[in-house]
Amino acid sequence: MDRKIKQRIAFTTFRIFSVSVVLMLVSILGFIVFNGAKAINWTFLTASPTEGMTAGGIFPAIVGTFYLVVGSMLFALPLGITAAIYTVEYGGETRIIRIMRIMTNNLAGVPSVVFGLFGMTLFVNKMGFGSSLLAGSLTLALLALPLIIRTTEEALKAVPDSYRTGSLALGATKLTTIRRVVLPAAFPNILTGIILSVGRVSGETAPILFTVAAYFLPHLPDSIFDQAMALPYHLYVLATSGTDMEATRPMAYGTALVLIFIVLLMNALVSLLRNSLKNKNSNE
Amino acid sequence: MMKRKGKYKKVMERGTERLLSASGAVTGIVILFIVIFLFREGIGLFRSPDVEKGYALYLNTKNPVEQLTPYEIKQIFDSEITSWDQLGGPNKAIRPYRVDDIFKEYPEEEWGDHYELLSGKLEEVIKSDPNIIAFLPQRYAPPVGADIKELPAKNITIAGFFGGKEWLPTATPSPLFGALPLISGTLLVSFLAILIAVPLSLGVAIFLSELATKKTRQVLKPVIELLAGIPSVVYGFFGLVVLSPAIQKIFHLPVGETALTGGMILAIMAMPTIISVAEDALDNTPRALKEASLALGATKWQTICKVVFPYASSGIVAAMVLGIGRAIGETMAVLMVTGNAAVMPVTPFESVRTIPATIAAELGEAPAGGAHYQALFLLGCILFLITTMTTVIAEFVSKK
Amino acid sequence: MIEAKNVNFYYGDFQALRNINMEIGQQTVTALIGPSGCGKSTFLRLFNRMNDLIENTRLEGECVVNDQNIYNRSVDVDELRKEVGMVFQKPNPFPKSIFENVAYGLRVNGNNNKKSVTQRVEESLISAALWDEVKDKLHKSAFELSGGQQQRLCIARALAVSPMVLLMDEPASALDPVSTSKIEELIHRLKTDYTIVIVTHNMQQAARVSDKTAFFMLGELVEYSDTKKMFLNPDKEATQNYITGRFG
Repeated sequence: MDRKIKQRIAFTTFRIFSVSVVLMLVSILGFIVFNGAKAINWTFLTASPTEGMTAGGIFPAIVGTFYLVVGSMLFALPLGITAAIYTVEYGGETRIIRIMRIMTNNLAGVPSVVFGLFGMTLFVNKMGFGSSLLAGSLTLALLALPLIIRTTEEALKAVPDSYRTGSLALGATKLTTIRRVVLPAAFPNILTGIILSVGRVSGETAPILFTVAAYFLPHLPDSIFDQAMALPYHLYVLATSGTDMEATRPMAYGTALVLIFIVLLMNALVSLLRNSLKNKNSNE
Repeated sequence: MMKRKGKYKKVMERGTERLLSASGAVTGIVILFIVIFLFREGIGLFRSPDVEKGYALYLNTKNPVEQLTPYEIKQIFDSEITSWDQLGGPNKAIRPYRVDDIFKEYPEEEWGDHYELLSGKLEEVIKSDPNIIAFLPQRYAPPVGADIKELPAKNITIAGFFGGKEWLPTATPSPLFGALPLISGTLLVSFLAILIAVPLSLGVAIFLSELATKKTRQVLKPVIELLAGIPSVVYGFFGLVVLSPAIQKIFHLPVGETALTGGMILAIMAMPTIISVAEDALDNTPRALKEASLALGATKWQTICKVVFPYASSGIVAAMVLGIGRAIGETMAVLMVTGNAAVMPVTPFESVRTIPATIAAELGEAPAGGAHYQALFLLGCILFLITTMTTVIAEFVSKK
Repeated sequence: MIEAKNVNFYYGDFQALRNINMEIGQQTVTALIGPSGCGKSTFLRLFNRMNDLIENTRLEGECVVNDQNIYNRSVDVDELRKEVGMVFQKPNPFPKSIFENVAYGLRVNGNNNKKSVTQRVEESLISAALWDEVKDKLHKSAFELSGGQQQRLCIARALAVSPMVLLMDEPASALDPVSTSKIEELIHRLKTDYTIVIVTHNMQQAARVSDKTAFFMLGELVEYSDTKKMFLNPDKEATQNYITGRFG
């Protein structure tokens, strides 16, 4: 009978683990949401910080993060998606592609601070962009690149080969096949990857620390060579280096909530996309 | 007509293929470039002199000491070593001397309009005292000759970097780049994180894949995956305002920002990844095998231990390795909650500083191209190597 | 020995079995036949409570093994499954050695005596008519065996824990004709020691191996009688149609 007791002990432990882990994770979320909700109002979202970050809002940081997301995607998407198309549709299994795949896989695991290190030296110093939206976007683009390549590759590979052979058999060229058959079929999954990388990019702090982020800028950036505020860095600053910690806390909670909201939004978009995809497939 | 259209199409086709391959190549090159670049900058550290650039150390020739390690130099100027006999010289008190000291001894008029007289004055000072050690900018240095010698400049060594226990990158005259406290800080925090995260995550993964009802699973899995996407600075913020005060109170510590706090926050951050990958692995066990085991009278737990675990072991290991990789490279959260004291950790209840946190905290103040800057790159290389190793291991294991 | 009393079984809202009453005698071979989805496998899996593993299912009525309702709260499912062994449609050996596959059931039931385990493994392999083929490679992986050998290994594995009843869910459907006939011979020999219930969609197989046959259709037990009678002179027209291959 003791194997029953063992089982009971093991399973009870796992149940307790699960409940506590879920409680822990949910309470973190709840804590931020609860405290952040009190701070968020219209002014908070549309005004600049004032009075040494203890009042006002985070509008420049929201805009800065938006610019960074758009800027990084502008570089990463064309490069990442075309690279993935090449490796999956044209490449075959040549040595170069294998090396590239290992490289992208590795790069996906490289800590974000290393990207910051690289971006600061290359874009900020060597290329002379200075600490700017351009340098920050490029750095974040590098960070997003492996993610986009990988998800796009997977999306393309998920398209059944019969689609391709079917199209080719009808006399369509390879390019037409890719454009008319493969890409439309893979599109929702590619989009999922893009949304996930947008979520990731908007929350990264370490890569922008030295490439773009400004401690405090009451106005919005005018050009791509300007510094900008960004949400994650703003939260970091509020949390660690305010002069009046107690007074800055509500601002910090609010910023954290906005960050979480972005992640939630991205996840909601992804699951919406997946559900609509499921429905579409089941209708066919 | 048809033919011409075909030709146009063919050109398009070939052009696109070229374009795509170029894009693939650019991506590959960019990635390769990052790696080469990192390492080139990092390895440059070992070509840097171990005293501040443009400066040198000068001794009276009567002093028999010919060589000093950076750590000894630091101790001399911090008055931790006070007698030459500790360094193989005579039993005489050391007199550390900086260029500023001369301004106190001689009135302004004697320096010369463009400090041109400074070198002569310094020569006098060093000549007159066999126990002096002077740290001087080379452009004002006294002539080296019969009375004055310059300590030979050495480069920072690999052993000094990986074996040094002092990380004082801005110390003068001799900055110390001993990465040992940072490496051990990283390892300690990651180890604590794994210690907490792995059993919990495996428990949750088993619960989700084997015990939970379908409904529970459908609710919990997306929630857990969602938590993997929350920015690290948010976790760091939570750690700062909730966890570290709590730890301070519970363990009666002077500060709550400790290795343990960092480990716990990292554990929380790594858990969603580990749970999700491990659960997938467990879930991949063929139903037929589980049924076969149960049909022989094995309990569910026996089935999990004897059939599911062995089958999913590679996936579980891969999950743990990925978790470790994430923990080691995590920057912001750790920076915010570990207190960032670059000292060798003894217990988990002390402040530590990790490699990523060091880079993030110091890069802004390190002048580009200097030794400090290169040292940070070298730290970046170490991180890169560690995470590459974890990725390769994870891939290797999960392919098996 | 085995009995189903007023059994209804539901997958969610779908009723898979409708009011089944059936008695199965000791040391007989009973074949369950019927078109796909008729509930014959579901019925089989009731007797070692394999259906418990599927979520959102519901049973009404009683399943009796050894004079006890096995769905009674006091019944220990793991002990029940030792009494009622099962062989699955596809051979499903564990990724372990041949020896360890057969020893598995003994080990999980707490038998760690090396001598008795070794002895029992040999007996089981002999009973499953596999001993001569594997005695020299007991510690090789089970995956080195052919499909038919793997299935006999799975039978040996089930026999090792000394069950009284052996449930077989289309045990030969994934095998070639030669392997199939070996399994059928084996069933014939095992009959003297075990009560065997076998699901099959192969009419000839049912006719060859079984003493009694039950014909299921749309979750109902249409006809249950001696195999000979069933195949020569069935009572119901539906049975006649199915056996002669008009549908299914």
